[in-house]
Amino acid sequence: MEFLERIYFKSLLIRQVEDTLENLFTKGALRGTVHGCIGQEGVPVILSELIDVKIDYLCGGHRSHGLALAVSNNVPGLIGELMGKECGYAHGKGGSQHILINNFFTNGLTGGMVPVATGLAFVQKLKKDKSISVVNFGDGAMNEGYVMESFNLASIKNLPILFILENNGYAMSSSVNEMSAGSFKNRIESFDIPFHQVKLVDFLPAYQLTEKIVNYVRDSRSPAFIEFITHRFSGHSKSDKREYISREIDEFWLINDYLKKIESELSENKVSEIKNSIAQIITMSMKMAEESICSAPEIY
Amino acid sequence: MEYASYIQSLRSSLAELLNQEDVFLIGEDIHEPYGGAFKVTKGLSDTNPNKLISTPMSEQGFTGFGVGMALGGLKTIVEIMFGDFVTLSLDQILNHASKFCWGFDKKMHLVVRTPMGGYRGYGATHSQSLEKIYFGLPNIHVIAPSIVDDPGILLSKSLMVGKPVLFIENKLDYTRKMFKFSKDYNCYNIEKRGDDSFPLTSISFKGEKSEPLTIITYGGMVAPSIDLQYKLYVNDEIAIRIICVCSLSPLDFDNLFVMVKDDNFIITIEEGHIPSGFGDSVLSQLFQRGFNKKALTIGAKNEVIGAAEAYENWVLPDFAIIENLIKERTS
Repeated sequence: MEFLERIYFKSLLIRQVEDTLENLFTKGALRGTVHGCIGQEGVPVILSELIDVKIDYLCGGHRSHGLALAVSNNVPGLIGELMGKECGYAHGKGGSQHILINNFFTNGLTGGMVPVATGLAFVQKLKKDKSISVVNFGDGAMNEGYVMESFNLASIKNLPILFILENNGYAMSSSVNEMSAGSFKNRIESFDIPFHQVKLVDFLPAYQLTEKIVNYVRDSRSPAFIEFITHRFSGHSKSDKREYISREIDEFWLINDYLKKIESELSENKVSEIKNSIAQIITMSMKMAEESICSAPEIY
Repeated sequence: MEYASYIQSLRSSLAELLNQEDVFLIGEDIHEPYGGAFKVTKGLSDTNPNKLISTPMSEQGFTGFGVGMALGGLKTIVEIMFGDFVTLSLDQILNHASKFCWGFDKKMHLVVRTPMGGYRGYGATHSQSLEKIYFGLPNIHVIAPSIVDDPGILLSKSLMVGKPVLFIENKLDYTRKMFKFSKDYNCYNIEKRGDDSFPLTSISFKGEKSEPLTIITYGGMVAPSIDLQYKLYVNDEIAIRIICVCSLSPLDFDNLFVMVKDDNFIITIEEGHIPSGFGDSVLSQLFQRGFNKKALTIGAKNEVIGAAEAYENWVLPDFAIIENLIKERTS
């Protein structure tokens, strides 16, 4: 597949799977909760193009369905995981927030994987190759104490770690402007970590910047930080009606949805081919997940 | 090799472990010339400077850093300078490391070492015994060496458990001699039961039938308990038994029950606050297995530990009181 087609395919696959999961919850077919990433497909797709989870480490937080799908293309793995089935990423034990795919790990504590990823970067540094550690988190994590501690540790130990902040403007319902003093740029630069920022309204500039910074971390064996300004059309979690997000903000991001922009650049035939293929993948994945066994022990 | 001194055993074991390529030690002020707040790591950075990772004061962050190292396959020892600060490490151990063993099926070779305990006038936030916070949680082991259970040997075994281990040292034990090297060691009958690596150890007097009274204890309370046992025997001809526990969680309650089921009186001694600590847990499990005689938990009063000697002694276990209790019971 051509680059743009692949980006479109991966992004749309994430959006459609998230949509499917939200519908399954609404119907009561799934239990627990999910944190959807509709609108935030860009960063997972970019990282999946640049990070090899068989060699690099990649850590994510509670909103990691997109990353999981992008790095694995394993749709039954995600749906099965949410159904508690053997075919799931963690054999049905972990659910939405506790995912394992090779060297890709997620966990449910806001910012909690940032120190873990910093320790993993120490492991990478020992290897004397080009492997790195990458950690993805939201703006809510920027006010957690151990996240700040990790920036300091990564800087004083000069570790090959790339910090990825997906700033979607809200930590649950709390606006980043109300909850975060100063600027993230100033915070990060005060740790002597190079800071970069990009608004993810177009795919290519964001991709190119990330590629440059990933290479910088690989070559220099030292930390860097990218803040992606993005937007979620999903609620924080399944029950969230998004009453705290203004219509103007949603409208800006509807107009600036990179996925729609890429779609307009592809031929109609290609778009419909990809859409059909995704619909088929989802149908087949649902069936596979339903048929997969649940290997939980019997209650005694 | 076994050492006569508790701290020497620990230090030598660390030195030996750090010679292995995949073992690292991380913590505050562990390098020379400081060598750790309690000098446990004294001299280690001279031999293996790159295997000790000195960190700023950021216990949450560097515990997580250690969790990451273990997740990446290294055998990692984290030193928390004072046991009181394990509150800061809890999230990374409980909500991260212990979950990775489970959800990711990963062996986590991670030991978080820390000194607990008071009697040194350090006050409310540097004297506590907080290990009970970590008891009874899946995939977390709490191991406590003592003058009976060699700290160096237990440390190397803890690093092989494959699950996060909170390793409880004791500040007063650092200055103590190992029981095995005491001059009267040959007078004692030592029996081990249960797990080979982390056994239950029964201590009684050779050729002497003990009273049906057993002290169950661990860590820093083992040494004063043995002193009391000796004193009661020599001065009052009262022979009692002590059982030392070194794996506090999980704890082998089945074997412990077998060892004490014929006793008439059990006293648990811990330095941490009661209720809801080690003793309550032990007694509850023994009673559920059928023990139905008298029992008593001894621990710190449910009060904050003061710095002044009088305030500290008022809160922490007092062995003169325990001595009188035992005399009353056995008279």
